[in-house]
Amino acid sequence: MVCLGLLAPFLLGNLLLRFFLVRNDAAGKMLRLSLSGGLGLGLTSCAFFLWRYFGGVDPYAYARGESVTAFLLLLIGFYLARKNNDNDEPLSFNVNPRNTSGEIPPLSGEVRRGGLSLSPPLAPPERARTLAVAFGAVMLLALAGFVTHYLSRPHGHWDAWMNWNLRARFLFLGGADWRDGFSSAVASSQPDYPLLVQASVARLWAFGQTEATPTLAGALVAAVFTFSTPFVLLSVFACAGRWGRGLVAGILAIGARLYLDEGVGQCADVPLSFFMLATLAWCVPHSLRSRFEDKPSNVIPAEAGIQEGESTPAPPDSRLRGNDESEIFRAGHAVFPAGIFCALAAWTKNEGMVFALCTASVLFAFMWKTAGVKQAAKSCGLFAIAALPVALVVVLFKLRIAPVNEIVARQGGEQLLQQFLTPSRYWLTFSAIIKHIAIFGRGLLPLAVGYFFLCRSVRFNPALIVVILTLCCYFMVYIATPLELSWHLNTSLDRLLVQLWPVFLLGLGWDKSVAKADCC
Amino acid sequence: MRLNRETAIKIIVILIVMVAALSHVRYVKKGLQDFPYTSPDDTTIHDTRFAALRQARLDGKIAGVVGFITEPSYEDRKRSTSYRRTQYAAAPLLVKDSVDQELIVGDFPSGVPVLPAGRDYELLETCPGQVYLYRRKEMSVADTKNIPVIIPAPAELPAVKVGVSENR
Repeated sequence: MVCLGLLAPFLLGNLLLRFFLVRNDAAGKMLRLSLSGGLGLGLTSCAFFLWRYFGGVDPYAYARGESVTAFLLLLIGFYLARKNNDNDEPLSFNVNPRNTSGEIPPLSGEVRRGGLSLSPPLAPPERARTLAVAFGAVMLLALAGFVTHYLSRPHGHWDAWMNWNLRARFLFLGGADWRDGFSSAVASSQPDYPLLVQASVARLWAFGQTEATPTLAGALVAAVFTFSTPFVLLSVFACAGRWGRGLVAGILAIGARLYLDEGVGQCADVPLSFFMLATLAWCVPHSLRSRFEDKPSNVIPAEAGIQEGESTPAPPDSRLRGNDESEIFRAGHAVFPAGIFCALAAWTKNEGMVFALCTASVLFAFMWKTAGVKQAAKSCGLFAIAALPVALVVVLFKLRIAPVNEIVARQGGEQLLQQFLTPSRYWLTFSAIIKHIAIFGRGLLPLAVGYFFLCRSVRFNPALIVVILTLCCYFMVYIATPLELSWHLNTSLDRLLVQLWPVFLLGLGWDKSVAKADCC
Repeated sequence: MRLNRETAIKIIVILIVMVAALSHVRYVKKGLQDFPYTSPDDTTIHDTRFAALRQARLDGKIAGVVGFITEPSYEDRKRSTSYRRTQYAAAPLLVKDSVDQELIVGDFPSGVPVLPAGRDYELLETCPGQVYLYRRKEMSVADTKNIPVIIPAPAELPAVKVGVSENR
């Protein structure tokens, strides 16, 4: 039954993504699959919280209701998706299929209503398959590490049982008194943190009809996010034809031991990193193509089409107009899912709210710079509309359930001012951040920077700017913290770096050009 | 020049794969230290010890907020850990880190409960796993009789001392 509790959100997430991402090649399918579980868990956790908030008492009744609703939605959704596919069957083509030198990738694509749609290579090139084996081996080792550590510490890390799984117990077992868990009487356990992870765990218990295996649900939720994230990175790069780069990025993401350890620890940092990555993945130029593009950036008018067997086409760069930076975030198909994922980041942790503000600001600025203020306002308006339903749930929780945040509640304005006027706090925080960054991933971070520099992909882009801006916000929170600063830095900084790690890798590999070498 | 760059990329990729794989091999070995996982970790032990109290809350035999008391020999950090583990294990029973409640749960792994001086408590129940439930004595006898506290002993733990205390 716990599996049903995972299957329903996975199918719902997949169905929803079908409306935004209709690429049916290997990369597109992998991206959809890797995003589905997290999206579904996020949305169903909102539903579970709302059901609790509006008076639901019996979690088993919720599970039955959600099962029936999910079944009906899936029936309707798959009917609509099928109908849509039948009406818009594309005519596929492939030009220069024998060119395997890697210099100019074979050009392939689809003819749809309105024009010709070009796609990057659909499958990993031959030489990238060695990397795929390495990726699989590292993933298997990570899975073994996950299982062994789960068995030795089934309740997760300190923070997991003290905060996330504790609230899950209140949500699931608390009956009409579930709000007791958010009382400030429960000292120092962050009762103001949003409920995505907690509600997901409680929801899985409801599906399991028992709390007899209390730790399994938490571990399953953690596993979904931990192992989806490398596949999201891989498939985002693969969508742009960069299988090699995607595989290396995936290995880097899961290869950082701290990342895996936080994942098996059942804290919310890895789920947050998933939603951060998923938000920005939709903004990568040329990677995600859909029939819902309002300005189809990658479409060439049908009359300008290429005949099969034609001599080597012009370099793909000049044809894939979607590579242009101004296309970032313009199309409606990217704005909507990005908005939903961004709001889910805010529903995961307080840091997600900081990320949401940073992301919205950066994307607005990029749009303004590249496409003008009107287009920027339009895109960000759509982004806000997409984020609104989940954002309302967050606001409801913050206003009606959550107590005041510990950092805010513990100090007055005068003390806060004094913290900001103490230079030693800045130096202590700065040096701690540099130190933790230097040892992050036990050497993987400098290797990652070196690899992407050699691939000539590193330059300023929205993902990197979001990472830097979010890190600056975290820096200021440390300056303001009423807790003992060294203790606060030592106990939380690593987790903050884990949150930003996959987005950082996306930012490093963010590149508008088409693949030139199999390892890049 | 280009060859050099590609070679450098390959070397870095090999290094990345090796660092990631070796790191995870060590991680798996660390996880296997406790194999075959017959001795549970501290949180699991605490969770099992308080299962009876949690069940009493689920059965409606205890409600509201209970206070908390633990070994007086614990230093701050250990005391704080004990409280947090108790709150986690007893949830959805709300445990407040204070002795100013009518009901107080005592976590005394040593099996020797020590109550703070100057406070008058009576032992209501001794649960399996050296978990004790106390009530402030100011309540009238009639009040105490109205609160039935019957905590079942979980099968996997030997009951240390089951039953109502003589003070009652």
